Amino acid sequence: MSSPLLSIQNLSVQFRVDTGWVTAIDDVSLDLAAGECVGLVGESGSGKSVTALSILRLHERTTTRISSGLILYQGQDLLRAPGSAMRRIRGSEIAMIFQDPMSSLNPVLTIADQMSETLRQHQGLAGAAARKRVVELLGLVRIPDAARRADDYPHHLSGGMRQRVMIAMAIACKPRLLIADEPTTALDVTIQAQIMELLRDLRRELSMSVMLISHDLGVIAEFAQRVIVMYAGRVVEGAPVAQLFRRPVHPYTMGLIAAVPKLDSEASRLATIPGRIPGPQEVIRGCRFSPRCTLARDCCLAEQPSMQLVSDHQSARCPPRILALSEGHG
Amino acid sequence: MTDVGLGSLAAAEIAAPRRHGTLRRLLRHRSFMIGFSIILLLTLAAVLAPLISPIDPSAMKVRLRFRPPSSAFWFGTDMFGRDVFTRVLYGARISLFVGFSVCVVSGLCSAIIGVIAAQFRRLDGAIMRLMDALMSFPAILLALGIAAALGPRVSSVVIALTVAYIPAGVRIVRAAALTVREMDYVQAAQVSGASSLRIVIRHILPNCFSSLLVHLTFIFAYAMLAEAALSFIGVGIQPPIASWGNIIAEGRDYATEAWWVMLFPGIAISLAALSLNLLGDALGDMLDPRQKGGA
Amino acid sequence: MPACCSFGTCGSNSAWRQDGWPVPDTRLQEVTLIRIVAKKLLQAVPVILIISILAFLLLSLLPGDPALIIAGEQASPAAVEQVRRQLGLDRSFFEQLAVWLFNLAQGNFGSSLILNQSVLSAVLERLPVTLSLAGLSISITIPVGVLLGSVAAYFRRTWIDSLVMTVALFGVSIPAFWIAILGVILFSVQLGWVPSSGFVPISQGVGPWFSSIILPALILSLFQIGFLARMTRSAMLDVLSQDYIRTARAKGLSEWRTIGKHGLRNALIMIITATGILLSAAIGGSVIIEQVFALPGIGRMVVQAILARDYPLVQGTMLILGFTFVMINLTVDILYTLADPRVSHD
Repeated sequence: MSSPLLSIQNLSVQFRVDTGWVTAIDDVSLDLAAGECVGLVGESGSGKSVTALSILRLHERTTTRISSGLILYQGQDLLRAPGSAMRRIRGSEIAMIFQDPMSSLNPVLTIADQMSETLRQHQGLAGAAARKRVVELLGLVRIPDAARRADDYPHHLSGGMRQRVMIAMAIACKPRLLIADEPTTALDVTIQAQIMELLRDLRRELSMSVMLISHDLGVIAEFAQRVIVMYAGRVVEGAPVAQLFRRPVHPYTMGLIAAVPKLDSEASRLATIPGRIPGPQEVIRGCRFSPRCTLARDCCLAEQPSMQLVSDHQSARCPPRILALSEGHG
Repeated sequence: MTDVGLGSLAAAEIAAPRRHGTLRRLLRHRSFMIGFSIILLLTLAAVLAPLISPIDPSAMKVRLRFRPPSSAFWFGTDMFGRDVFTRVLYGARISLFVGFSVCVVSGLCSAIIGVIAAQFRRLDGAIMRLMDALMSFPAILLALGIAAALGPRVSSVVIALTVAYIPAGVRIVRAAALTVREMDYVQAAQVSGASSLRIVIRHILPNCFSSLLVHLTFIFAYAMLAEAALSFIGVGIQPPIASWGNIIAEGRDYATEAWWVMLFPGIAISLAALSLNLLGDALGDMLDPRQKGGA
Repeated sequence: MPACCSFGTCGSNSAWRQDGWPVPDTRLQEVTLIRIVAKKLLQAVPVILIISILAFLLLSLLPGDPALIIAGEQASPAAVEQVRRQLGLDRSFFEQLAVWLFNLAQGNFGSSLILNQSVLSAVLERLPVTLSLAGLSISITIPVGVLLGSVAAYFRRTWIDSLVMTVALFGVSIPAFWIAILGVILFSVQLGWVPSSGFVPISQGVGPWFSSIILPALILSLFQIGFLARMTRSAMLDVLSQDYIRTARAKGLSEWRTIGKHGLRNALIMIITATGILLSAAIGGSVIIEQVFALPGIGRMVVQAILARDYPLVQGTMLILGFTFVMINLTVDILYTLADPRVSHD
């Protein structure tokens, strides 16, 4: 197997709170191959956004710090790369789009202005050439009347169109990896489908890898090839998408999948996972999911479980379950 | 296989840190504590002035003029032999009184006018034009004019400064009230049939309170500085009543021979204004938290 | 609402919107600049009217008989009567008001009792002094204040932030007149670098003019720099925490371009409104500073007029200043509208 495009190894990030520093994500590892689409799924507070922001070192410097780990991109450790190297990579090799397109675009600058910044920075385009490319890109993301839209301000556009602009800005320099942090969460359902379809088409046309972050299992299921599940700052399971849904190993994953309402089921109540996700400050001995886990045992409460391989491509952080599966139960 | 699911949730809770109450947060906030302590000290000194220094601040003893600071006269004596320390102490009374009164009266007026402007659209236009007119003068100039017209006494200074600072407060209250009005809970109250007055008192006013409070703290400081300036020019408090401003004015001509007359009141004003600004900053920090911990 | 919005001169009279802007699905109808200017001008008219009436009322605030006060206690009844007739105080209230407004419309702001000239000419004579002082002070204040505030915001929670904010805090807390006196003692008396009082007009040389005005201007700027630095820091903190700053970084833009272009451009809105307040504070502050440095400016004239009971002069000057600030606020308001493409007018 050739080396992955991106490899996050044992990444730990801390937040600053009144009393000191607390761990936000702990020992997160994941690999992403060239051309692959990986989905990172988890509830709010699971640490998925923190992980994504760390790749490009976009976290808030005064309140967040990376305490340990490596992020290898084409062999270079991004966490220790100089600022100039990062600036070269951001926007041209690795691009990112965010959840709220309304606040992610500068309200006092025109669309064309903001888009040509990337072009100027990485491709040296200016003036007429830049504008031509801007209109081209807007057409690529299927914005009607692109030439006129280019001179609009963000608040003239609807939510869906703003997100298309964000995508256009991100793919302007044909990045090898696109990180999409909850790109459809702030949008209406019908617009969501359009945006996801656009991403799928662009991915194919530009041969781009995508890291899709979402709390919505449906979106992940449709789009991703491989899924990483995060809970309370740790990776708890990773598997190819079909395998994950067919045979989830970690109890949290099982709970997540069960919680998705099915139109054809006869159940009268929605399935939920009791309890709530622990905050970064809460210290829990043992497995962080154990307080909510219906299958928890004494060993789960005693010590932190480690990630173990379930099969060739699937791994999970739940030794009791893996054991049970290998012995033929569950 | 034991089911320990929900039970250990409680155990997890115990490990979580307790929520800090507002009071505790205040006490741990350094700016707040420093600012609050200084202004408290000054207020106590002002209130207890006769006890701290039983000398009459206007008592002139020509033989004792221009004594430098010593154990007998902590801040020395001025050109008339008056004890500077006592005068500064009594000056504190004036300054703090003026600052506080301006603060309270302008605050009340601003709150009332601001809410009326926000509630009654028809009056809004007229009220805001009037406020704009008042704000067209620099506050000092307005206060100067009014104080000059009313005569050089404490009440004139208070009235003048109050009028000068009301428009700013009205803008703040009005802006806050307009924002609150659009909030869902106000609309919910309206729908459930609450009377307008009730809505104003129970919902709108409390939410304007925090912005206004921070603003008023700074007004206290500005009012004190303004009073000192007015008294310095000769339009505010006149000697022999001691005001920090007029002590400096009197001491100015003897700046090289008796520097202590001018120095200490200036330090006093700076200290008082400093502490109030610190207080205002601290309150602003806490009432408008901007911490984005991120997740 | 940001706490820095003290003195809430947020351009238009609408509430300060932190994150909610109108989001239509279709294009906003473009409002032409001329329409905006016309509307603001129209709003300014009643303000000017009110100011005129207020200035008029200033005289009637005087306790007792204005004519007597102006003529002096020792004056004979005949002299008092003459003053009364001279000032038109023997007419009814509304007649006086009408005469007052009529005169104003013709550009007659009254005449000084003591200076023997019209208020307008007295003000114009002293304008260069006050303009030099306020102008120089503002041109120092704006770059220094914005720079300090931005630096403090960028390095928030570090020692740089604390240092800058402490300096700013002292700036707004120390009384200007006091530090002015200390400044004179140090720089004029002890060091002899600058004259301790008096104004040298530019016609007599830029060097001497600068010498005579630099110390007063610096002292005047102290408070304003402190104020502007604090406001800028607050505005920049707000802006720097916005998502579009993160987007700019994600595009690979350098820190300079991110902060400079995206950051300041947004904070500009706040800075423009702050400038309006600063101009007002500069003129107000110059009243005090001119006294300390014996500069023959408008501020000093007002103070001396008050002490000498030259009330028509006070009245007229206040009025002229009031009109000037209405114009300034109008300009600031329009600039604010130009700077922020989101603003729609209610």
